[in-house]
Amino acid sequence: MTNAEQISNIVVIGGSYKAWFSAMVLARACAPLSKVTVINLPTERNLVDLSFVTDSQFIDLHKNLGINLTHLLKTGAAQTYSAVQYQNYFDTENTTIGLDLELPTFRTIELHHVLASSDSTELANYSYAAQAALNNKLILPSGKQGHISNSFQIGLQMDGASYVQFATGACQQMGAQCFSQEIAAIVKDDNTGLIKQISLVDGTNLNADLIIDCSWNSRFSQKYFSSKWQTLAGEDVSHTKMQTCVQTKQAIEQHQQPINKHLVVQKQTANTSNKNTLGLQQQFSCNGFVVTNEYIAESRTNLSQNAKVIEYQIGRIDKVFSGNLCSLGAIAQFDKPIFANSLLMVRALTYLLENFPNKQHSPFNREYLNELIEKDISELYQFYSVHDPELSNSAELLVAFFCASGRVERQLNPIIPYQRWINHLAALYPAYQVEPMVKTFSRAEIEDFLVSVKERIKQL
Amino acid sequence: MKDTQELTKIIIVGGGTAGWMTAAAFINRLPKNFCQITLIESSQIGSVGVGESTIPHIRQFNQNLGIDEKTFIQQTDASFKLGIRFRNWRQIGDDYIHPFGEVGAITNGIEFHHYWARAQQLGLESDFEDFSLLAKASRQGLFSDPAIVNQSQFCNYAYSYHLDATKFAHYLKNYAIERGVSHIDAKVISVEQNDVGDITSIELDNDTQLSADIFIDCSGFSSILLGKTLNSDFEDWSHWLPTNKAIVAQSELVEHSLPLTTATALPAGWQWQIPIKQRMGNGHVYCDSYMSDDEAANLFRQNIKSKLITEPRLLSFKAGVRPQSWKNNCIGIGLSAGFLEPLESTSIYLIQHSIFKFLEYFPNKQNMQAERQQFNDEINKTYQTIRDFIILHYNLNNRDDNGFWVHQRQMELPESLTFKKGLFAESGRVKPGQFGVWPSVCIGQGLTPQYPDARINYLSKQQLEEFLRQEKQKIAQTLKQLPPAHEYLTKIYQEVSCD
Repeated sequence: MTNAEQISNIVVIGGSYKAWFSAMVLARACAPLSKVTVINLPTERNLVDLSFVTDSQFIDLHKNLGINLTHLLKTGAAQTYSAVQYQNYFDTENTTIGLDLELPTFRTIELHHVLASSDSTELANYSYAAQAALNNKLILPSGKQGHISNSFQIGLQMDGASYVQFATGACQQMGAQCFSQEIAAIVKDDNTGLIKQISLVDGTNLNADLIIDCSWNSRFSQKYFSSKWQTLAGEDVSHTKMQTCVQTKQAIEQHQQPINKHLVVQKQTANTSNKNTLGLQQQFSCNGFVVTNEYIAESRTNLSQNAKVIEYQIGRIDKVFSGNLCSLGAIAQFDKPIFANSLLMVRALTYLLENFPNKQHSPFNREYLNELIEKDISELYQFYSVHDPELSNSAELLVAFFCASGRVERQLNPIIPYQRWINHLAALYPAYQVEPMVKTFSRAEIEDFLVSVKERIKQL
Repeated sequence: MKDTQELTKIIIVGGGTAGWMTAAAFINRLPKNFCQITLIESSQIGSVGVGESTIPHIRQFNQNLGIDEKTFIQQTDASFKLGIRFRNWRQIGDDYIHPFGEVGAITNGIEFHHYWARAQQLGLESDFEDFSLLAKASRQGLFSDPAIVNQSQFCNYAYSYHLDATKFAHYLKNYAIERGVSHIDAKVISVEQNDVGDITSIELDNDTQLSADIFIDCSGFSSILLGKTLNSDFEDWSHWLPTNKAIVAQSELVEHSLPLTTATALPAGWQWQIPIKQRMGNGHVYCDSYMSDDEAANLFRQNIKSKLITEPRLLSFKAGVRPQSWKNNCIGIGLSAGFLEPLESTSIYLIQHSIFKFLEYFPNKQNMQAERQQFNDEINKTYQTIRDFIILHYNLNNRDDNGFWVHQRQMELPESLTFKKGLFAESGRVKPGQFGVWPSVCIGQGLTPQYPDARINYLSKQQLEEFLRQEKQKIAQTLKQLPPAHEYLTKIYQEVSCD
């Protein structure tokens, strides 16, 4: 590739943590060959201090850029978590699910098969990650191969404002430019059909070889490349309801019972379809809830003054990568935050870096990127849909397979780790069929094994 | 949890490589007394003797079964294999190796072939194969246990074996019978089914009738249960892989043969050469629309450099797969489920893959719908992935000496392969989960990425030159430590006989 074919100008549009995160990643990974410019849209500033939950891949990507976990914890006013507690989602009132990558096996038989043949019921009792979170303990994977203390992931609960401040500083250090203005015009090249220039209201013209749209609702992909906003199932979007997400921060008074900091709490209630509580720091916690517009009047009456109210439409873009524009974050796909919703963006950015385009944006590479991201979106949607009866169940086959056999296909590089699928499905569909070979072992053998797992966790 | 009803009886129809691999794996993996396994084969029916050349996955199979490597080598007359040498594929006179394991080191998360392609663009010409330890070692006839090789530098060092497939089946037969598999020497003469089509029992030519919950069809091309009884459809891929015949024979061993399978392209197909302990395995795979059987036989003899020790045999086949290789309560494993020509030595791997997939999805008696669907999906994907990779070898050619090669170059490819080939040509990317080492075969056959990974553009010509020099040096240093493959092998045979 000659220099003329190389991407030299990357423009990131947005103002939320997702935009700054993307800008920082690209500035670090692509320097010195490509220059990164951020257009911090004034309309986006309202979103800066939203808090968010991340998955371990967010931490990993930072690590690859030389930013370690301790640094992230300090700069992002963050708290680790190793389990999520679902309240009223499943048959039981509280179901805690660890971020397990693997649970102990009994003579090669997976734990959920063994458990179903015993008196015990909850997988969380045998999950190191879940038990640590429930006991409000900070743990990190030990790194010992094949050991119970290493077979899980951790994620972060982060304060958006603190993270944005950190990422802005990192971007500036890497020489990234920032313009806090609205966009006046976008100019496309007549021959290639790709965006070549972005003009700002003050008359600044920015050359652009690659545009990353991380804005909340600018939807440049729809405006300039005729892409479509669809339902998560890929259908026409017209009939979907508008939804509203409300987020508040609450100071923790000294006399209050400290919340469990290493657990993310997801609650389903009557007038909100979903509510989460993050234990961000010792000083404050964060509550977010999601409602459909039918209920919004009622919920607004209870809002504190600093609450953020964000309206959105659940759905997804049909092509994340169109022309030379890549849509990341909420502009690409949005669903209720029942799971770490930065995950998709982190993975999309990783794919982009690993398959970085040339200036001509050759079609096979673009199609490949879209295929990779598409696969993630579909799997994530499947994951959402097994939890949410309002969504059409795109995971019908997967659920049928699980119910009939207690198994899930082991995919190459899945967005939701295999064990996480098992943990959730076992909680949602407890009447699954167990592996036939379990029956060859006596109840006493199984009970002994389960007791020993509990003991090991207790000791750790 | 629901009450389960376990399978109590499994019948495997057919011995040979597929049948005995299945029996041995089942008896090893299923808990003791969990179910009764019976293998039925007729000593009157010959076996195709699938697979003399294998890929590294076979080592995993052996490890799973607790088979000691040295004993295995001795029992199957095995020799080592580090890859496949392709001669005359792109054009007559060309010669490259598809080694096991990646070529070059992944550096800063970027695969080596991107560095190499960028270096070519900057005028730093070099042979891609020079950066593969395995390719270099195999050309020089060297081999070593991975323990001797510096693992931090060559973490993807992999090898497999050339073996006598009949002896392999025989070895596994003893293994399985010793551990409790029942063996019956008889021929299946009829099959009974119930209302829903499940096989309930089979009648043998020794006047016995056997029933079971699951039937494994390892009857080879005749596919007597899956094909003939259950009429599981066969998806014909011969329009993409038109070779349909093979002439096979054994010849005397050529001394100090390289630890490689050799695949030499011929006017209407190709010829293999596989060195095992005391003989060579040879075969000419061709398409009879472009060459008569007589021509093929003559060419076959001309290309064998040592004396034939068996009479040439003619085999016929058709490339394709049964998309439902698990139908009702019958699972086809091996040739009864599908056939892909042996260009990439995948026959034994496909058997192994089906066996372990079935064990992974081992069903209950009363409801196997979900497992069946999942198994079929995954097995089909595997067949398609290997199919694409084999077609790629034929498609990337510049030969005009026979209409066969022109057709292979110009034919419409499967959609999946068009994308994979285009993606590699454009950017050097390989979709995850592909079979084989794509960069070796693509570059070996002249397809170099136009736009290698942009993240290495910061490297100057001098830096790249230095990087490539270091890679070569690393290999050269390691090669000095490796013993000749034949000496290494002789030592193993001696050790085993002393034991």
